[in-house]
Amino acid sequence: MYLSRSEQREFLAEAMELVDSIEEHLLKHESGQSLSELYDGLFRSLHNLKGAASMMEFSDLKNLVHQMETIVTTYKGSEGIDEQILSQLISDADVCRKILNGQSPILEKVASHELDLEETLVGLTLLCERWEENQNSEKFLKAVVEGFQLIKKSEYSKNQSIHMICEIVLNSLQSVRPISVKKKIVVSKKAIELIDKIWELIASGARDEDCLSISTKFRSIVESKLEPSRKKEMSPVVDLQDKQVSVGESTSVRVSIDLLDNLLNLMGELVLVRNEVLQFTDKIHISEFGAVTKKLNLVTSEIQEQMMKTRMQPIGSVLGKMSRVVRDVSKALGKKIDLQIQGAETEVDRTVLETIKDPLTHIVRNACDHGIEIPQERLNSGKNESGTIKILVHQEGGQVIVEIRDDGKGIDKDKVLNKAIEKKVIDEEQASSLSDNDILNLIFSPGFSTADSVTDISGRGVGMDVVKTNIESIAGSVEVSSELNRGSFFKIKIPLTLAIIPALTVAVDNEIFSIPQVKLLELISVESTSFDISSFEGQRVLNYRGSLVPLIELSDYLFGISKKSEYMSLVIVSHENSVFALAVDEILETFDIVIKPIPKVIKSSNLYSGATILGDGRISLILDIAGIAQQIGCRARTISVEPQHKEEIIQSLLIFTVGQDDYAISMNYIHRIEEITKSEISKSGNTNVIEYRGELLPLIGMDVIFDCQYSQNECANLKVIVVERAGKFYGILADEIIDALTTQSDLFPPVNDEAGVFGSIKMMDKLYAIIDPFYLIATWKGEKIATDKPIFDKAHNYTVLIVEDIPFFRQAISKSLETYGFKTIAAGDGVEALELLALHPEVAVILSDIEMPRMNGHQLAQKVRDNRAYDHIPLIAVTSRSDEDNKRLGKESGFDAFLEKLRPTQIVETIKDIFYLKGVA
Amino acid sequence: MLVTEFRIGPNWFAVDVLDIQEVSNPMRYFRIPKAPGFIRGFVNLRGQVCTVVELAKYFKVEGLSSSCMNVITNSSLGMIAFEVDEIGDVFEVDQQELKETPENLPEVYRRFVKNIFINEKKYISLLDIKTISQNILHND
Repeated sequence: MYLSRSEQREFLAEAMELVDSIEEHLLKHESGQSLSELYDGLFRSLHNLKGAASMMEFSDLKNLVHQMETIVTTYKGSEGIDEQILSQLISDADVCRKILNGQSPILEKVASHELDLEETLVGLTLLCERWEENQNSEKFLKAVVEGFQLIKKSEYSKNQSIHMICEIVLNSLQSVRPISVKKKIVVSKKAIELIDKIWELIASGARDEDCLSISTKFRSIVESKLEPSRKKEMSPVVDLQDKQVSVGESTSVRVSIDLLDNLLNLMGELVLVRNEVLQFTDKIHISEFGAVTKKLNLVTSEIQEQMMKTRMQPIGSVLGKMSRVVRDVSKALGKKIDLQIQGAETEVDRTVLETIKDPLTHIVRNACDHGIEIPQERLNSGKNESGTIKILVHQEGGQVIVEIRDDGKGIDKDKVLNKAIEKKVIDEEQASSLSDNDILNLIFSPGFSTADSVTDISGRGVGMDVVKTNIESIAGSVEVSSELNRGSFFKIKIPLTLAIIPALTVAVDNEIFSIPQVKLLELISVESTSFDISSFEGQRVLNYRGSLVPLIELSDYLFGISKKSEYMSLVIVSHENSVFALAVDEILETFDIVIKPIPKVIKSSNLYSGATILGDGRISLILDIAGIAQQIGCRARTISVEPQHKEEIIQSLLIFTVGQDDYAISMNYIHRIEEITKSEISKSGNTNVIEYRGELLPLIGMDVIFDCQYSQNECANLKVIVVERAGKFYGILADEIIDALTTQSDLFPPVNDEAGVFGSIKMMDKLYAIIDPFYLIATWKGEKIATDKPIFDKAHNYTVLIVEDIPFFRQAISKSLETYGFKTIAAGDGVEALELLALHPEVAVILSDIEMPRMNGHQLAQKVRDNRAYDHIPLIAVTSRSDEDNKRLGKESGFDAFLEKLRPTQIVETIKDIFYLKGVA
Repeated sequence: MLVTEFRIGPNWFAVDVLDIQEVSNPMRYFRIPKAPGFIRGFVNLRGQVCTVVELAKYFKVEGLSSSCMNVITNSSLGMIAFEVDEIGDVFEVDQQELKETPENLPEVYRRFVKNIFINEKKYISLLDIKTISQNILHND
């Protein structure tokens, strides 16, 4: 049967997926899932694979799969497949993969001289692709070399150009120079492509000379490719990892990665052009043009978002491979290891995915090999016989956090230290000055391995430093902490995507620099003579919120020019938890920037991670915060093994004034802060409004509920604190924004149930009332609010479980409920809530936020409703997103009531109502 | 081989025309603090970041004398603009006219100038500009 090259490629990819699915089913069965559940899927995959194999005349594969199918059929309806047979089937799946990977009839055909040129090229292409997936295999190199030799010896080689290409490619494939496998593959592929092109030309009657240009071009390509290059080569076929998209569904197409990459580059250019146009619009004031650019802006942003999505893949495609790693390692070492994965659906850019694949595998493998003890050892130290490795993935801002935790023996710091001295990573003098955390970080040093004996699985000493470099190469970071006998914890932070990032631009000595937004903590302006700025030994230091941090004057640091000005604009940045301040001449805007690579001679200064072209055509260098941190001697700070339990309640508050009075509002509410002139305010009916993001933003004065007066100064600008409530934006007016503060002080509950206030907080000897913006908005809208203190005399009988990820809200809710006499316990997310529920059978009501990491409110509600032990407990959703969609979803997942974040009286009323309805109270 | 000649200070150089993408007038460049001395900065060449290199400093030979032109090369690694004083003719050089670079010249010079030839009573050093750009863009 004749199939085109692309059809053959399609077949191989699909067959691979089928083998993956077969393996997955078998592994699931092995780990305890019943055969009856898996049988249909398993049988279908086997059957489809057999069909495909026979269609493609892969007789070896067909026979093997047929055997497997027969074995599986005999177990139909039985309890399960015998362990031995199951192992056999799993290794059979490996054999299937091997056949598809190139020990296939195609290889034989290439070797048997009977093929014509075209078919040989098809064979070679497929070989290259399999080779790409098994780069360590010498076998493929040999086969490809054989293929090209075949062509060279054949009559086709009478054509000078074909002969030349064969020679060049064979030279580079067999070269003694260290050429990476990737490059060899790229060169081979190019050669195949060009030979094919030449053959076409000859077939259409071209003369030898015409083809020469192609072979010369090839020579130059090979020369440039074989120079050490830092450009990453991409694999040519999108690996459709998602098993759900199985054969037969035509909702997706395979697109080559090259095409996607080109599109992404063009996307980057488009973003730049968009920025340019936008800046131009600001200069000329033609309203039609303004409208068009607005549209352009929207469409571009949309395209950018969608474009990014095409490159996103669930991280599960990599994590899924971990179960195989864990299985193999635990089998080999006689350990019992339970792998738990959460958040596998989190999506990241495929380039990022490629880069973290190996580091992740390495860490997991290390955890299995060195971390988890053998069952006997575990029992002796009082642990469960089988060890657990937990992988938790979630998204946080523009970053993906991967946490890998094991409950093994942990990392022995003394051992690490001794090993480091022995391996001359550090000397003894240095060793004495290291903190515990520094010692742990030594495992990332090059040439370090703590395994007493090198095993097959890990411990060759080339591990963790590569892990760190790989992750840092994509602007990620890895942190480690460990407790002896309790386990180790790795926290990997990786960016969601690489190509386009939001960044802040700053001016230094007339040049513009960009600072990636993920590194930013805060922007502040300080008087140069301020007490907060001091010098020690010629080094400047800033007193930043109570701690002394390095202060680097960029104009001096970069250009050697010291500038004197009244105020200093400071950009506070952090890298791996170490904080420092950069003084710049001027803080400009934030942009989405497209990162362009820079020559290595410039990158090696460790000051810049790339460059970008701004809207006005200027080039801006992107500051490498990690590199700068390293140069000024910042070290990674400690993180704790159990971060969520040691967390302190930190409240971020914004302090603002209205007339003479100070107020505070929790940062969690604030969407944005805008500055407006009084003339911008217009009236819509009786409401003051301004235009905000193309919509009208109602402005609400604090005097709606508070006894205060706005400044009468007509020229002064007003500040608008934009708050989102139930999907709509509202602006709260303020005269001045004083400061943003974080504090750990306790919240005092409202003294007198004062309406619209959560309580007060003491900061720097001053008491601030923390306002309830939703109450303010509700009052302004004239919504009916229960203000009387509800009486609920049985309150002391009830324990309320509060599930809320933001510490501020958690504290505020529990404080106010406690004033009504309730007992409260609090959890940070759904998972923790379920754990607490198991420990506290007395919980009478659950108050839960909707959006939380790990397990959100809807999922929690479903879990609670599904569990017979809890299904009587009333569930109340307390959220800032009480729009209709969410309400409907909430009802579906089992919530009894849906409340807006934070009106304690309403919460108590609702609890009361629910109990009356249920006849409890 | 078709070459184009250019002058840096008192010295004449030539490069294979196939190795250069274009020649341009001076452009506004953006400084790169703490970069090696021979790097002048970046220019925005139609939306691409292009590194400007002062060849004279790279070779440690006598420097530029006047306002300069840029000779731009492009490879898969990136673009480089080399600053030169003056651009001369484009002409054909025969392989036989090329003479070996004498041994007493500095090592860095001999690495990139493999041959010298004479044209219209000028000694012209034939630059391997491709290797230079690769060295600058990627110095492993």
